[in-house]
Amino acid sequence: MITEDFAAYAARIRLRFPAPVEANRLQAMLESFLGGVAMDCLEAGTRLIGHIKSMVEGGEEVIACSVTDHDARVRCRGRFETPRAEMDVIVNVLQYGLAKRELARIVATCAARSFPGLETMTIEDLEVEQEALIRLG
Amino acid sequence: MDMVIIAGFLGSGKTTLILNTVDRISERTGKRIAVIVNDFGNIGIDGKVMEKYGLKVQELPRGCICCTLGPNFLETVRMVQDRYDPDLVLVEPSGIADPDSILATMEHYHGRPLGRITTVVLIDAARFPVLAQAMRVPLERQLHAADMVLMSKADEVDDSRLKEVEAFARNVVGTKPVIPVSNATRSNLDVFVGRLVGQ
Repeated sequence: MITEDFAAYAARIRLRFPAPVEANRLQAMLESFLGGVAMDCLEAGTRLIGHIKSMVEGGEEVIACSVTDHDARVRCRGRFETPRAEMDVIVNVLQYGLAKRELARIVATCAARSFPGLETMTIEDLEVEQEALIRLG
Repeated sequence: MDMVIIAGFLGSGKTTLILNTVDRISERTGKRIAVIVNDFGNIGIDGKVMEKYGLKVQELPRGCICCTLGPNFLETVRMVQDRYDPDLVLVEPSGIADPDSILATMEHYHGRPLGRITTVVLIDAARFPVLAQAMRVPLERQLHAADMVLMSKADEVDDSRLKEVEAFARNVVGTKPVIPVSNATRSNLDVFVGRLVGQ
């Protein structure tokens, strides 16, 4: 099912806030981020959302969210239960229609928009060899 | 060691199905189960989630086992077999995988002989109209290798949708089991497990 227009982008977004952010607020930000990525992908020309998913690293809670529908509905397994001043969000965007560089741009834009008040944000591409790997298939 | 391949398009509920049924399979069979997950990115989200829920998972990240990672997959199966010696290995390929290609890859396996290989394919009933329009041929190809089909997210659709999905599946798999299931309500998960373990 790797068609010519399939592209995958995986990244780790390292977020640092100046002070701990309340759990409900973090949850809202995360859901806004993932829904935003889906909506921006569709706006930019994604033909089919495969799976847009995220997982928050660190802490004891399991917080895994995903979007599969074109209505950009976010479903989460687990929620934030304690305030955090920092967290790493692993995000995978698997879709048909946009190139990887466009997905990287959308993820960065949505992260900046959905997590306001950050002290720092860094994005690490976890898919650096993926393009070559996919082409081999 | 038997192998069960849990395949299905991206977002069809493979990881959740495994999380919701692995204990039941283990309880009903007494088998020791290992899980191999193939995901995108250096850090696979599905494997991480499973580990958070207490499963011992061998990840096979970055690429698809049905094409670019074939040799790595064989190596991983062999390592799992040698190191953990499970009775059953559940394989969750990435959602773009063609199970036929995985079965073809397994023909080149040179580890200790495997027992039965069963392929379960999930079809997302909720997204079926969109997927059937955009991905009809690849979906049919995924179904081609299925020993059992699960119509996932059955709680989100009505009977007419389920009939539509079943007709699509039956066109490819004939009389093989086609079961509506829901990870959200857990409906028919016991039926699935029963069929899988032959009880």
